Amino acid sequence: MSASHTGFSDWFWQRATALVLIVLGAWTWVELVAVAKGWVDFNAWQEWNACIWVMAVRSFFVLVLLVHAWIGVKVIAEDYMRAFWIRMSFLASFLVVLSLGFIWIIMNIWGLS
Amino acid sequence: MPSSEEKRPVAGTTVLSPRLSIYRWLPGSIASVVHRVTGVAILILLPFYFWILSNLLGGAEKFACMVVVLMSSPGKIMLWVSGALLSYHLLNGIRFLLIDFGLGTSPVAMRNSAYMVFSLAALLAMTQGWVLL
Repeated sequence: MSASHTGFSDWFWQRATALVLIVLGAWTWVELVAVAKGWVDFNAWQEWNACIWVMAVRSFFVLVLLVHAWIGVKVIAEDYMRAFWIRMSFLASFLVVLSLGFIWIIMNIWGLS
Repeated sequence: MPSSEEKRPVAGTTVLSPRLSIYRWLPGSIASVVHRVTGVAILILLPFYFWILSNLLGGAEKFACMVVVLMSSPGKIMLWVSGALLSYHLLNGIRFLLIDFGLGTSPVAMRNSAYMVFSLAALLAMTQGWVLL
Protein backbone atom coordinates (compact mmCIF):
# COMPACT_ATOMS: atom_id res chain seq x y z
CA MET A 1 0.00 0.00 0.00
CA SER A 2 2.49 2.62 -1.08
CA ALA A 3 1.34 6.16 -1.67
CA SER A 4 2.95 6.32 -5.09
CA HIS A 5 0.23 4.76 -7.20
CA THR A 6 -2.97 5.72 -5.40
CA GLY A 7 -2.62 9.48 -5.93
CA PHE A 8 -5.14 9.95 -8.70
CA SER A 9 -7.83 7.78 -7.23
CA ASP A 10 -7.42 9.48 -3.82
CA TRP A 11 -7.69 12.86 -5.50
CA PHE A 12 -10.70 11.86 -7.58
CA TRP A 13 -12.71 10.19 -4.82
CA GLN A 14 -11.95 12.92 -2.31
CA ARG A 15 -13.55 15.41 -4.71
CA ALA A 16 -16.41 13.21 -5.88
CA THR A 17 -17.45 12.60 -2.25
CA ALA A 18 -16.94 16.31 -1.46
CA LEU A 19 -19.58 17.27 -4.05
CA VAL A 20 -22.13 15.04 -2.30
CA LEU A 21 -21.11 16.28 1.16
CA ILE A 22 -21.57 19.97 0.28
CA VAL A 23 -25.29 19.28 0.05
CA LEU A 24 -25.82 16.46 2.55
CA GLY A 25 -23.31 17.79 5.11
CA ALA A 26 -24.99 21.18 5.23
CA TRP A 27 -28.38 19.50 5.34
CA THR A 28 -27.37 17.34 8.30
CA TRP A 29 -26.42 20.35 10.40
CA VAL A 30 -29.62 22.23 9.51
CA GLU A 31 -31.68 19.14 10.36
CA LEU A 32 -29.99 18.74 13.74
CA VAL A 33 -30.62 22.40 14.61
CA ALA A 34 -34.25 22.11 13.44
CA VAL A 35 -34.75 19.17 15.82
CA ALA A 36 -32.92 20.90 18.69
CA LYS A 37 -34.89 24.14 18.30
CA GLY A 38 -38.17 22.23 18.18
CA TRP A 39 -38.99 23.31 14.62
CA VAL A 40 -39.61 19.61 13.95
CA ASP A 41 -41.61 17.62 16.50
CA PHE A 42 -41.25 13.91 17.19
CA ASN A 43 -44.19 12.82 15.03
CA ALA A 44 -42.98 14.69 11.96
CA TRP A 45 -39.43 13.44 12.59
CA GLN A 46 -40.57 9.81 12.91
CA GLU A 47 -42.74 9.99 9.81
CA TRP A 48 -39.85 11.52 7.85
CA ASN A 49 -37.38 8.86 8.99
CA ALA A 50 -39.72 5.95 8.32
CA CYS A 51 -39.62 6.82 4.63
CA ILE A 52 -37.39 4.38 2.78
CA TRP A 53 -35.82 7.14 0.69
CA VAL A 54 -34.75 9.03 3.80
CA MET A 55 -33.13 5.85 5.13
CA ALA A 56 -31.43 5.28 1.77
CA VAL A 57 -30.10 8.85 1.51
CA ARG A 58 -28.94 8.76 5.14
CA SER A 59 -27.06 5.51 4.49
CA PHE A 60 -25.54 6.95 1.32
CA PHE A 61 -24.51 10.09 3.24
CA VAL A 62 -22.81 8.06 5.98
CA LEU A 63 -20.97 5.92 3.42
CA VAL A 64 -19.78 8.93 1.41
CA LEU A 65 -18.81 10.78 4.61
CA LEU A 66 -16.72 7.87 5.88
CA VAL A 67 -15.00 7.38 2.50
CA HIS A 68 -14.15 11.12 2.51
CA ALA A 69 -12.84 10.86 6.09
CA TRP A 70 -10.83 7.73 5.25
CA ILE A 71 -9.05 9.38 2.31
CA GLY A 72 -8.45 12.57 4.28
CA VAL A 73 -6.93 10.73 7.23
CA LYS A 74 -4.91 8.46 4.91
CA VAL A 75 -3.41 11.44 3.06
CA ILE A 76 -2.62 13.22 6.35
CA ALA A 77 -1.05 10.05 7.79
CA GLU A 78 1.07 9.64 4.65
CA ASP A 79 2.30 13.21 5.13
CA TYR A 80 3.14 13.13 8.82
CA MET A 81 3.67 9.48 9.85
CA ARG A 82 6.97 8.55 8.32
CA ALA A 83 7.57 5.14 9.90
CA PHE A 84 5.83 2.50 7.82
CA TRP A 85 4.66 0.33 10.72
CA ILE A 86 3.34 3.25 12.73
CA ARG A 87 1.41 4.51 9.73
CA MET A 88 0.08 1.09 8.80
CA SER A 89 -1.04 0.15 12.30
CA PHE A 90 -2.68 3.55 12.73
CA LEU A 91 -4.52 3.31 9.40
CA ALA A 92 -5.52 -0.31 10.02
CA SER A 93 -6.99 0.56 13.44
CA PHE A 94 -8.71 3.59 11.97
CA LEU A 95 -10.25 1.45 9.22
CA VAL A 96 -11.55 -1.04 11.79
CA VAL A 97 -13.14 1.76 13.85
CA LEU A 98 -14.66 3.32 10.72
CA SER A 99 -16.11 -0.01 9.59
CA LEU A 100 -17.61 -0.76 13.01
CA GLY A 101 -19.05 2.75 13.22
CA PHE A 102 -20.51 2.37 9.74
CA ILE A 103 -22.20 -0.95 10.52
CA TRP A 104 -23.54 0.41 13.82
CA ILE A 105 -25.05 3.58 12.38
CA ILE A 106 -26.51 1.76 9.35
CA MET A 107 -28.25 -0.66 11.72
CA ASN A 108 -29.64 2.33 13.62
CA ILE A 109 -30.84 4.08 10.48
CA TRP A 110 -32.72 0.96 9.36
CA GLY A 111 -34.06 0.28 12.85
CA LEU A 112 -32.22 -3.01 13.24
CA SER A 113 -30.48 -2.38 16.55
CA MET B 1 35.21 20.59 3.65
CA PRO B 2 33.06 18.55 6.00
CA SER B 3 32.46 15.00 4.92
CA SER B 4 28.98 13.96 3.90
CA GLU B 5 28.99 11.61 6.88
CA GLU B 6 28.88 14.55 9.34
CA LYS B 7 25.95 16.17 7.58
CA ARG B 8 23.80 13.05 7.63
CA PRO B 9 20.57 13.76 9.51
CA VAL B 10 19.65 11.66 12.50
CA ALA B 11 16.76 9.32 11.67
CA GLY B 12 13.42 10.66 12.88
CA THR B 13 14.58 14.26 13.21
CA THR B 14 14.07 15.19 9.59
CA VAL B 15 10.86 16.47 8.05
CA LEU B 16 9.33 15.66 4.68
CA SER B 17 9.53 19.25 3.51
CA PRO B 18 13.21 20.23 3.84
CA ARG B 19 12.51 23.99 3.80
CA LEU B 20 10.07 24.23 6.71
CA SER B 21 12.33 26.59 8.68
CA ILE B 22 12.16 29.23 5.97
CA TYR B 23 8.52 28.52 5.15
CA ARG B 24 6.50 31.66 4.59
CA TRP B 25 2.88 31.58 5.64
CA LEU B 26 0.49 32.87 3.00
CA PRO B 27 -3.34 33.10 3.10
CA GLY B 28 -3.54 30.17 0.67
CA SER B 29 -1.31 27.91 2.73
CA ILE B 30 -3.11 28.88 5.95
CA ALA B 31 -6.40 28.02 4.21
CA SER B 32 -5.02 24.56 3.34
CA VAL B 33 -3.74 23.84 6.85
CA VAL B 34 -6.99 25.04 8.43
CA HIS B 35 -8.86 22.78 5.99
CA ARG B 36 -6.96 19.80 7.38
CA VAL B 37 -7.42 20.89 10.98
CA THR B 38 -11.16 21.46 10.58
CA GLY B 39 -11.45 18.12 8.76
CA VAL B 40 -9.85 16.25 11.65
CA ALA B 41 -11.96 18.21 14.16
CA ILE B 42 -15.17 17.27 12.29
CA LEU B 43 -14.04 13.65 12.34
CA ILE B 44 -13.55 13.85 16.13
CA LEU B 45 -17.11 15.19 16.48
CA LEU B 46 -18.52 12.45 14.23
CA PRO B 47 -18.95 9.80 16.98
CA PHE B 48 -21.07 12.36 18.89
CA TYR B 49 -23.20 12.90 15.81
CA PHE B 50 -23.71 9.16 15.37
CA TRP B 51 -24.66 8.87 19.03
CA ILE B 52 -27.13 11.78 18.74
CA LEU B 53 -28.64 10.38 15.53
CA SER B 54 -29.05 6.90 16.99
CA ASN B 55 -30.88 8.40 19.98
CA LEU B 56 -33.08 10.62 17.82
CA LEU B 57 -34.07 7.51 15.86
CA GLY B 58 -34.55 5.43 19.01
CA GLY B 59 -38.14 6.35 19.90
CA ALA B 60 -40.08 9.18 21.59
CA GLU B 61 -38.33 9.03 24.97
CA LYS B 62 -34.79 9.05 23.62
CA PHE B 63 -35.77 11.73 21.12
CA ALA B 64 -37.12 14.03 23.85
CA CYS B 65 -34.05 13.41 25.99
CA MET B 66 -31.74 14.21 23.09
CA VAL B 67 -33.55 17.48 22.35
CA VAL B 68 -32.89 18.49 25.97
CA VAL B 69 -29.21 17.52 25.58
CA LEU B 70 -28.89 19.49 22.32
CA MET B 71 -30.50 22.58 23.85
CA SER B 72 -28.32 22.53 26.98
CA SER B 73 -25.34 24.90 27.03
CA PRO B 74 -22.77 22.20 26.18
CA GLY B 75 -25.10 20.90 23.46
CA LYS B 76 -25.50 24.36 21.96
CA ILE B 77 -21.76 24.95 22.08
CA MET B 78 -21.18 21.63 20.31
CA LEU B 79 -23.75 22.52 17.66
CA TRP B 80 -22.17 25.92 17.16
CA VAL B 81 -18.61 24.55 16.99
CA SER B 82 -19.66 21.85 14.52
CA GLY B 83 -21.49 24.48 12.46
CA ALA B 84 -18.47 26.77 12.39
CA LEU B 85 -16.12 23.90 11.46
CA LEU B 86 -18.49 22.71 8.73
CA SER B 87 -18.91 26.24 7.36
CA TYR B 88 -15.19 26.66 6.93
CA HIS B 89 -14.57 23.14 5.61
CA LEU B 90 -17.44 23.33 3.09
CA LEU B 91 -16.57 26.83 1.86
CA ASN B 92 -12.87 26.08 1.49
CA GLY B 93 -13.82 22.71 -0.04
CA ILE B 94 -15.80 24.58 -2.72
CA ARG B 95 -12.75 26.84 -3.18
CA PHE B 96 -10.52 23.76 -3.66
CA LEU B 97 -12.99 22.29 -6.17
CA LEU B 98 -13.04 25.54 -8.19
CA ILE B 99 -9.23 25.64 -8.17
CA ASP B 100 -9.19 22.00 -9.36
CA PHE B 101 -11.43 23.01 -12.24
CA GLY B 102 -8.85 25.65 -13.14
CA LEU B 103 -10.73 28.64 -11.77
CA GLY B 104 -8.82 31.26 -9.79
CA THR B 105 -5.41 29.61 -9.90
CA SER B 106 -3.29 32.77 -10.05
CA PRO B 107 -1.45 33.71 -6.82
CA VAL B 108 -3.58 36.84 -6.43
CA ALA B 109 -6.83 34.93 -6.97
CA MET B 110 -5.72 32.19 -4.52
CA ARG B 111 -5.03 34.83 -1.87
CA ASN B 112 -8.27 36.71 -2.46
CA SER B 113 -10.37 33.53 -2.46
CA ALA B 114 -8.70 32.46 0.80
CA TYR B 115 -9.64 35.81 2.38
CA MET B 116 -13.15 35.40 0.98
CA VAL B 117 -13.48 31.95 2.57
CA PHE B 118 -12.20 33.25 5.95
CA SER B 119 -14.71 36.13 5.94
CA LEU B 120 -17.68 34.08 4.70
CA ALA B 121 -16.97 31.32 7.22
CA ALA B 122 -16.77 33.88 10.04
CA LEU B 123 -20.03 35.46 8.87
CA LEU B 124 -21.75 32.07 8.67
CA ALA B 125 -20.45 31.05 12.10
CA MET B 126 -21.84 34.27 13.57
CA THR B 127 -25.20 33.66 11.89
CA GLN B 128 -25.25 30.10 13.25
CA GLY B 129 -24.48 31.39 16.72
CA TRP B 130 -27.32 33.88 16.43
CA VAL B 131 -29.74 31.15 15.28
CA LEU B 132 -28.72 28.90 18.18
CA LEU B 133 -29.06 31.57 20.89
